[in-house]
Amino acid sequence: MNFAKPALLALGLAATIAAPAAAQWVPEKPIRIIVGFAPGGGTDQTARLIASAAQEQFPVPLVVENRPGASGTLAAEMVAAAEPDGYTLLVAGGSESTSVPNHMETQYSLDDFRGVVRVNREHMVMVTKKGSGLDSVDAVVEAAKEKPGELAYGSSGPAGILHSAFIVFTQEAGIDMTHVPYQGGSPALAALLGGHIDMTIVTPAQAKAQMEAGTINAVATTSDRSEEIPDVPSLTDLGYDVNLENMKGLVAPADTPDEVVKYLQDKFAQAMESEAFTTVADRSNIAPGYLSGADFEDAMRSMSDSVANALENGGGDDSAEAAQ
Amino acid sequence: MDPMLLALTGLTEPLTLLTLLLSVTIGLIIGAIPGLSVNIAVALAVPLTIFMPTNQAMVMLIGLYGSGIFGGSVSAILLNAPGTPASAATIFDGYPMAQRGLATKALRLSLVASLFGSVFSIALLILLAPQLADFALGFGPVEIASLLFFTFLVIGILSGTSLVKGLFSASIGMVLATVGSDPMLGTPRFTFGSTSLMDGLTYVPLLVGLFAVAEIIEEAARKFSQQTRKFDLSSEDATANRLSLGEIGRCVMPMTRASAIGSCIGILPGIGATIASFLAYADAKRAAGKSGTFGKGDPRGVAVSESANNAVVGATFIPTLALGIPGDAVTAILLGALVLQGVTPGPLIFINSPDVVYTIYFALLASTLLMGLIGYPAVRVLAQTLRIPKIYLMPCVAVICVAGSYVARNNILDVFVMLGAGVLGFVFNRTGVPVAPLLIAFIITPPFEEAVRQALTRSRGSFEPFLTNPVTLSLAAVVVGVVALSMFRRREARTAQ
Amino acid sequence: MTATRILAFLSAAAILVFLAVMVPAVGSNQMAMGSGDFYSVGPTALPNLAGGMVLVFSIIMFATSGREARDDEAATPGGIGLALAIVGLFAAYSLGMLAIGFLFASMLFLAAVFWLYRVSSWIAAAVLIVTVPLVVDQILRRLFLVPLPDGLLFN
Repeated sequence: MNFAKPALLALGLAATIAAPAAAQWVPEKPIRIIVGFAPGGGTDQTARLIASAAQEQFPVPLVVENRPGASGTLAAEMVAAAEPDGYTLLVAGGSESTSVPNHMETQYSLDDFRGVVRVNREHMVMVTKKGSGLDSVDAVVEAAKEKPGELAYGSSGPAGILHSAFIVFTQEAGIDMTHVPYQGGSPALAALLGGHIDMTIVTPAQAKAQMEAGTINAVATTSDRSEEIPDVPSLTDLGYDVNLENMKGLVAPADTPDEVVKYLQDKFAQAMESEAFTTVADRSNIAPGYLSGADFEDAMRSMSDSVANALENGGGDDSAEAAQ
Repeated sequence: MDPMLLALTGLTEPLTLLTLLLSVTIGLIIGAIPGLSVNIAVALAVPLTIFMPTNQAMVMLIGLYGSGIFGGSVSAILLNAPGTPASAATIFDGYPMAQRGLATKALRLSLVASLFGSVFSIALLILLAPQLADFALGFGPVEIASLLFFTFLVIGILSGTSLVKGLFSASIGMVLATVGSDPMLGTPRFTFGSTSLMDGLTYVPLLVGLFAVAEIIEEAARKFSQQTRKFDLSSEDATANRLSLGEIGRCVMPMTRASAIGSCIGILPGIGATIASFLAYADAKRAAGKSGTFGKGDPRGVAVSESANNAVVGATFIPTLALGIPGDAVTAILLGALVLQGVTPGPLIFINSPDVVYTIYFALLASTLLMGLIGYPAVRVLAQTLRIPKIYLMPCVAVICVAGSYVARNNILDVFVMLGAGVLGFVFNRTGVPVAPLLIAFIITPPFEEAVRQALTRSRGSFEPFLTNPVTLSLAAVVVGVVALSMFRRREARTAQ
Repeated sequence: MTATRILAFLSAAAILVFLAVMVPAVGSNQMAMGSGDFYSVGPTALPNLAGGMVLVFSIIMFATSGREARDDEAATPGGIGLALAIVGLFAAYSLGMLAIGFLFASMLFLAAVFWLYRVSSWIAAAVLIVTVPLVVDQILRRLFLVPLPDGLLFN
């Protein structure tokens, strides 16, 4: 592997200082891509895939570094405080960007970052257990109105993007459901299959596999329709103003200069068109969703705002009323 | 071609075999290094598999996973420092055996037990996967909470001479487990504003601290022995270290029970190999009663702990394959790797890609066998570690512990957690407070709290489900029985004196 | 006073602070953040239970360990001073790792331990001082692509 020795690093630094500001920025030391989740997970895989595909485009090594902890906020905090020189990037766009900062105090906000590129978008699919009678959004809403607070949804953890999606949805539909958090999406799906909760959110690939086996109903996606499961309606189709997705992309600290961001965006965009990237993405259900840095920022901001709105209007407090 | 044959021919390709050999060897080494757990090894290997053919990718990841857990017992036995969390219970008898010059024997037994546990659970996986997976789904929060509550009972059994000290140790473990964000609301608890503490104290550094670092501090207090230790692999030791068929025979029953416990724990989500080995150890100790020398170097202690934690490996594949839901962190990573290969895991994987399922079966079996083939001759060499004077060995172990604790999360805080746990372990050792109850309480408390509160959310605050659930009631009956029996025995022992 | 009694006394004192100051702070924090509500068992239930258990068992331990002879406590030789020394070295090592990087911090740590505890053969020690940190660092870097801290000096 191509890790520069400290001495080389120092040389590189010296060169940056000595050379007069060149017209175009070119990286001169390894670029660190920080992942806020453990190795092997979905975020990590996306990061490593784009890093290995983009390596050809870069004159320096791209190093993926995992800083797991606190739903990705640990890594986000670190990158928000990092030197804005383009050598430290964060894989963002999921819970740590659009969800957690709306629920609790974090030492960063979306304003601390600027988008570099969006790499993929993953639809979120609301599912219920087959045979539960809740085979459509209408059925869910009706049942929830009949017995407020009795239906329960499982999330991947408090303040995560699954939790937020349900808060926005219940707020929109004017219903009241109980939140039961699990340690991740898979335990929540297991609980759904075991009949311990009524509803949860999975990825399109998971939904497709379980639907084929006849174990679940996919009632809706939380944004537009997914190509992978075209028959499942989206909440927008059904008249609910919900548009949330689990996105993955790269962001840099807010004060990173334009030319640096431009350089990074171009290189990563080229990488996303490479054969290495498209073959693996295609095979492994990673839905490429290129967006420029600025558009990625906007997308994150609009999703984050919708969560903030729902929370301000009392979303997620339903169980409090039920308890009294 | 028949999918089974397809999988077999795929596995016999030279490149695949070579990958298997390499990954089993690397897994053994990583497992043996305190602080580097199998999870990290498997996770870090995933990106390497992206551009590999499916066979090779699966073989690589499964080879690492299967052999890593046995590797953990090596350092548990030789250094009193479990290489992986799952081998923590192996220390109780493995380390005393090594101290008595029976290191080779303990390692051999550990290897035999690991093979036994693996094969047991792989057989279950092949024969009964769908049925067992359905059984596991039935375990909701109420049942999980009851099972974990039952596990607290083993603290009494692991307490050694003083029950009060055991319970004291367990309650400290419980306090340590409260650090981090609340599982239901995300409210930070005792994090002092540090995001690094939001996920709580990390388990691996705590474990490394309590055992390995505490041992290093103890040795330092005794000025590190300088001389080469007397027992080595000379002729008289070779006979003592020979593992006879009769001895293995005596372990078969305990190992079968332990493997069954390990398999049951393995199919339930979120419990894991560490609890399985503790439970199996406590079960064997209780079953042996006064006839056992558990805790002082009873070979059965090593056998049950290692067969239980290896039985978890095969069992975690049961929900993974039958339901498409990972059984633990490692199988979650494996599922991710499968997705990258273009195989969609789910209940229909048996129909849609049976060749992949067979590849997984064969890779599990082959890695187990290879582990035996590589492990057996390696044992003698590994036991030589004990001949190194402690003044040279211990500081080097310290460096490895620091590196291992750091890399798990790339977080310096974890190194301090390790050091703090080391001091605590040292103080506990000096005052005769057992360390194991702290560890097990620390592991059980978070899933226990989570399950209880999930259940209470569903029942809207009522404890009634706990009182009417059949699993709860039958476990409660067992608890009452065991407690009554042990009180009766204690009274008998007292009157006999 | 036996070591067990000191331990019992110290943990009882520490847990009183925990129960009286730290747990209520969690409770009020949770109110202030308003992050949802719960039924009968909330974020402070477990800390209260665990803290209460520590308090009870340290009191019992304090009360009973006086009668019990010291034989429960490992009657081991060896100075607490030497134990404290290695803990200090560990702490310095961990902090130093951030400043000068894993490689040099480890070498210094090993050298300090070998010097402090009077190693008999400096040749063997020197070999270990150089090879162990280097091997650990290279394995983690090359095989697992996990970089250990390089230290601020080289960044």
